[in-house]
Amino acid sequence: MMLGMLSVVPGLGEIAAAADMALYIYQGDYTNAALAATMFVPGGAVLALGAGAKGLRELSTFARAGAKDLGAAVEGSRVLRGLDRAGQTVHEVVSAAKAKVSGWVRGGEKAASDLADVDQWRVSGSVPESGRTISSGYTQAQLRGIVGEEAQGVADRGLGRIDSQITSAQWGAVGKERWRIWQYRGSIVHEETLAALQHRLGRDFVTYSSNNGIDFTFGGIHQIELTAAGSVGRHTRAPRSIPIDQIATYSWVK
Amino acid sequence: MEIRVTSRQGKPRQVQRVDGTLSDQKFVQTESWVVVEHATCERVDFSGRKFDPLAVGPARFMECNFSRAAFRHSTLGDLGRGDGQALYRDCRFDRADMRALPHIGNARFERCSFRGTRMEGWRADRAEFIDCVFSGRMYDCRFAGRPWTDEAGATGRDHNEFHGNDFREAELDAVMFVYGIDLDAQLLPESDRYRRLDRPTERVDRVRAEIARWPDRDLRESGLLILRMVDHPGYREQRELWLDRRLFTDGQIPGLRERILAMLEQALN
Repeated sequence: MMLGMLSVVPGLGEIAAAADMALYIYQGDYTNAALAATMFVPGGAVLALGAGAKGLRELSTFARAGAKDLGAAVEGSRVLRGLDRAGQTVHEVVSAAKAKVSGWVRGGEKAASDLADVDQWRVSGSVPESGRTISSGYTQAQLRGIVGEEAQGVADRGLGRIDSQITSAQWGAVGKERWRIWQYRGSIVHEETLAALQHRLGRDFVTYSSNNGIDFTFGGIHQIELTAAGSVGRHTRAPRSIPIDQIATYSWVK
Repeated sequence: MEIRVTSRQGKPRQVQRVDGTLSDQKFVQTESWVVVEHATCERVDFSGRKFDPLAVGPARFMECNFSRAAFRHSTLGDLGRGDGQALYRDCRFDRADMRALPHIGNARFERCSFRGTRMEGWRADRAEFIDCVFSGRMYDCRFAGRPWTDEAGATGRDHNEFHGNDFREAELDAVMFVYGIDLDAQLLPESDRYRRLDRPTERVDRVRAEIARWPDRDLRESGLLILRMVDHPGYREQRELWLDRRLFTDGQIPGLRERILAMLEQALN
C-alpha cells in the first residue's frame, strides 16, 4: 500500500518502482521484477516489447539470478535509474544491470514458464497497439494503490449512498439473510470502482477479470483483487491464496 | 536466503480494438476482450460471439445483430469518461446472454429487440430505451428516467428518454422503473402479479409510520427491512410505482410480506 501511494506522487514513482522491483525479487517473482525494472526508463516497457521477448527475457534473467538481499536489489535499481533515459534500449539497460548484479545468486527454474507468457505479449502485438497497457508505466504496486484509492473514494460516499443502489430484489434477499447486505454493498463498491478505473485509465486497460477469479485485470497482465480491509485474511488463505501484494483494500465509513 | 519462484499471473489477456467503420460483414473476433470506440458498425453480424468483456465507448451500431451473443462483464456504453454516448439503432439482441453486465453505461437503444434475452442485474441508470421490444424473463433489472448515478455530469443530460417500449411479453421479475419513468408511455404486461400504485412516496411514508409503531421490535425491524424493497429514492420521483407482488411472498416471517403488501395497496384508502 505504501509503495502504491508513493508511486502516484510525481517524482517518487521511480523510487517506488525500484522498491517494487526489489520486493518482487525478494518474493521470487522474477517476471514482475523484470517488468518493474523496465519502468525506470520512460517508455521502457514499450522498448522491451518493441525489442522483443528477448529483451525482457534477458532482463528477467538478471532478475532471476536473484538478489542476496533487498539492499542489493535497490542498489541494482540505482544503476537503472542512472542511465540516459532518452536513447537507451532495453538491451543496454540489461547490460548495465547485468554488470552491476552479476554476483547475485541464482534463482529457480520455474521462471522459464513465466517467460513463455512474456513472449505472448510481444507475439500478439496488442499491448503496444492499445497504447495504454503495460507501456503506461504502471507497476503492480502502483495499480494496487490506484484501485485502493478509487475504491475508498466510493466507500467514502457513505453507506447511505451505497445503499441507495441496492435493488428491490436485493433488499428482498437481505430480508431473508441479513449478511447479504455486505455482499451487495461490496458488489456496488466493485462496480463503482470499475467505472472510476475505466474513467481514469481507459476501458481498454482495465476490466473485470475472469482469470483466476481475481477482480480486475490491467493491461491484460496485472491482476488486483479488491476487498474490504477486514476481509483480507479470507483472500490470502487457501483455497484462494492470493498474494498480499495483489490485494487492494478499502475501509467502510459508517 | 531461500528463493521461491512462482508465477502469480495467468496468461496475459489481449484486447481487440474496433474503430473506424465496419459494414455488411460478419464480425471476426480474435480476442474475447473487445473494445469498441469511435466506431460505426452498420449491419455487422455479432451473433453468437462471446465477449469477456465487450467495452463500448462512443460508437454507433446500426442494424447490427447481437443475437445469441454472450456479454460477460461488459459495458455497452461509457461508464463516466464523458466521451460520448453509444447508439444502438434497429439492433437485435434476441436470445443473447446479457446477465453479467451490471452497468449498461451511457447508451441509447432505438427500436432494438430483446426477445428471449437473458437479462439479469441490469443497472441501466445511464441508458435510454425508445421503442424497444422485450420478452422473456428479466430479473432484478433497474431502468431510470434520469442518469442519477452520473454525479460528474458525464452524460451531459438531465433525463433519459424512455418511451414506447413493449414489455407485454416479458416477465418483469423484480424489475424497477425509477427516477421519473412514465409507465403510461410503455406497454406493460397485464397480470395480477403486477400492480401500479399511484403516489408511491405517500404510501411508503404512511406504511413506514405504521410499522414504526409496532411494539414487537423484531417484527418492526423485519417490517422496515421489507419496506426497503419499495423505499428506493428513485421511487420518490415516480408518479406511479410498478410493483411486482411476487416480491412480497415467501418471507422469513410467515405472512409478514403479504401483510406489508396489503398495507401498501390500501395505504390511501
